[in-house]
Amino acid sequence: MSLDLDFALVLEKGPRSVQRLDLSIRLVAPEGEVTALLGPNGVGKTTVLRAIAGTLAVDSGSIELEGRLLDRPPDVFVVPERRHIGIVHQDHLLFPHLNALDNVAFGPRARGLTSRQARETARGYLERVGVGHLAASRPRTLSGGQAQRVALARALASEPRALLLDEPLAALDAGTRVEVRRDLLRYLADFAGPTLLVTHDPVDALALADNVAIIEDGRVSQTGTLAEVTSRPRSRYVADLIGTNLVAGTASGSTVTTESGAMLTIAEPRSGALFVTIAPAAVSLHRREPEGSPRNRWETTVAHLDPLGDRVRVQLDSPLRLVAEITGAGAAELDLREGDRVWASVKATEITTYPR
Amino acid sequence: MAAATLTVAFFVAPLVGLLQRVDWSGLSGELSSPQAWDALRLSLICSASATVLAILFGTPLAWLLARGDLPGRAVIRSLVLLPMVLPPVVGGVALLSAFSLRSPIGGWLNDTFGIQLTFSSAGVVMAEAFVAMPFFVITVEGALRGMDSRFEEAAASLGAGRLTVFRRVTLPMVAPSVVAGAVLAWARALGEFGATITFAGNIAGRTRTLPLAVYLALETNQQGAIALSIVLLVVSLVVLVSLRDRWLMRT
Repeated sequence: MSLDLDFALVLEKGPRSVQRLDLSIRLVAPEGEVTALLGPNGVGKTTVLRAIAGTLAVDSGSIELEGRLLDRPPDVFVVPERRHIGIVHQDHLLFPHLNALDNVAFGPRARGLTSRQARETARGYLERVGVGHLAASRPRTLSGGQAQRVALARALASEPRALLLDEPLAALDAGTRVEVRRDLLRYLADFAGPTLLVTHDPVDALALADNVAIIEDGRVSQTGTLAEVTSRPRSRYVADLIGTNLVAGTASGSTVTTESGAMLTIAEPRSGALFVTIAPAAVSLHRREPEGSPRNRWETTVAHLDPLGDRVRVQLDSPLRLVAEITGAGAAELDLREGDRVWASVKATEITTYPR
Repeated sequence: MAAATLTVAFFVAPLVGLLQRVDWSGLSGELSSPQAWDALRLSLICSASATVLAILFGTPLAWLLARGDLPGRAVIRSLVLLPMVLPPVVGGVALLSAFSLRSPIGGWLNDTFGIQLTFSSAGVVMAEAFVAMPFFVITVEGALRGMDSRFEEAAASLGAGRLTVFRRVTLPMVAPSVVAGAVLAWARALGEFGATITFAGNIAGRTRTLPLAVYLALETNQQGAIALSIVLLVVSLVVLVSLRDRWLMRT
């Protein structure tokens, strides 16, 4: 039993549709596991959550929870209050006119319990997330971390079949964040249904999620465990996330022709479309044409210099827009400036390839 | 600076004029006369009824204008707000044309239920509601429009149906504006003159409200008119003080 998404949805924001969001999402979030929806800001992660929650209708395809259709145009659309989906928002959205206890009791009450039973249930959930002593507090008197715990208790108390977390840690300061993240991990482990965590922070995904789905340009570009996804990046976004160089190309024997037309020699013969990754530290820079072993060498221009602690990241220009990472001492010795001509080299054995 | 001083003086002068003409020792005597007492009682009952009507009928309308998927919303809003800019006496004439015994609706009401709106206390309530309701609607609509609808979505995700969401989340969150709108509408209803005298007439004990009594007393008993004016002035001050957070503290 899982949360199954396979839908398309076009959303036009603003009065004159200045922004158009074109989503086409295929994703399965298994029960008892946390799936992180990881992607840059503004790609529509929150819109995916709204479609699942039912505050937006999909244009085509379907959303299914535990085998029950929630949305499949044109004939099925379950209204939000009948979907049994718990949501924790970044800004928690606790009702300002109710105290913490009544906020948490709201769900059980709406599901038909008497107000006394609902409060009793709510007290239990508040205690479970460690804020039982704040039952009588109004939301505006709570700290960010406390409010986020109450919001989680509120979502859990309505006994949802799936849990959606929308950037639950983004609004917290660094110290609180670590603490809430640790506790969140414990509470989520007890939750039996599928959990979908939306985040732009890979640290949150790494700490909380069993699986990640990378979302870019309105599509899910990669799924798997975080280790799987980062060891074989298939997009610029993931490559940037782990700080490696990603190049798409076509192999014939031990030669790869990149999309920009550059040639690379690789150690193991391959054929067909593939991705190439090169760690920035594996790219060496020289003032003169290097002699000796490296089989890949080319002359290029320094586009940009970026000091990073005791190392310097050097963005190279065409024919291959790679990032080279060299030591501060190396950079000083080379005396690099933006616009300088340099020689770059990469050993064939330093190039990783995998099919596209 | 000079212009501003002059403007303030323009507002203060009538107030001072009124206060310095009050015969403070005779005030209680004037106010306890049966005529004054009748007018005060009628005014309170009618304006309170008009306010209740404004809340009952105005709240759903405000919600629809703010949130509903309404075709011709701008036209409907203009129609509802028209009484705010319409001269009240014109409103009275309009009510008269629609609900007098000789009009189709007024005739039907009288024939079928024996209800006569013109020259009755019910007519006073109607005239006051007609003039005062827009103040309530526009205040509450503004609050609903400004409210973050994600709170309502959050409530729905917790299993609450639309009515429960409205009752337990929307209404409490806009409660301050509902109160402000009701107070405004009530103050407007209490001071209503033009539409009331045109539509409901000026019958002692039945349709003669405070403002009508003030106007009438001015001809015969100036001290009585001033005493009644003081009552209305005190009410205005109370309204102003109760809404001070909304208007006076604006920075």
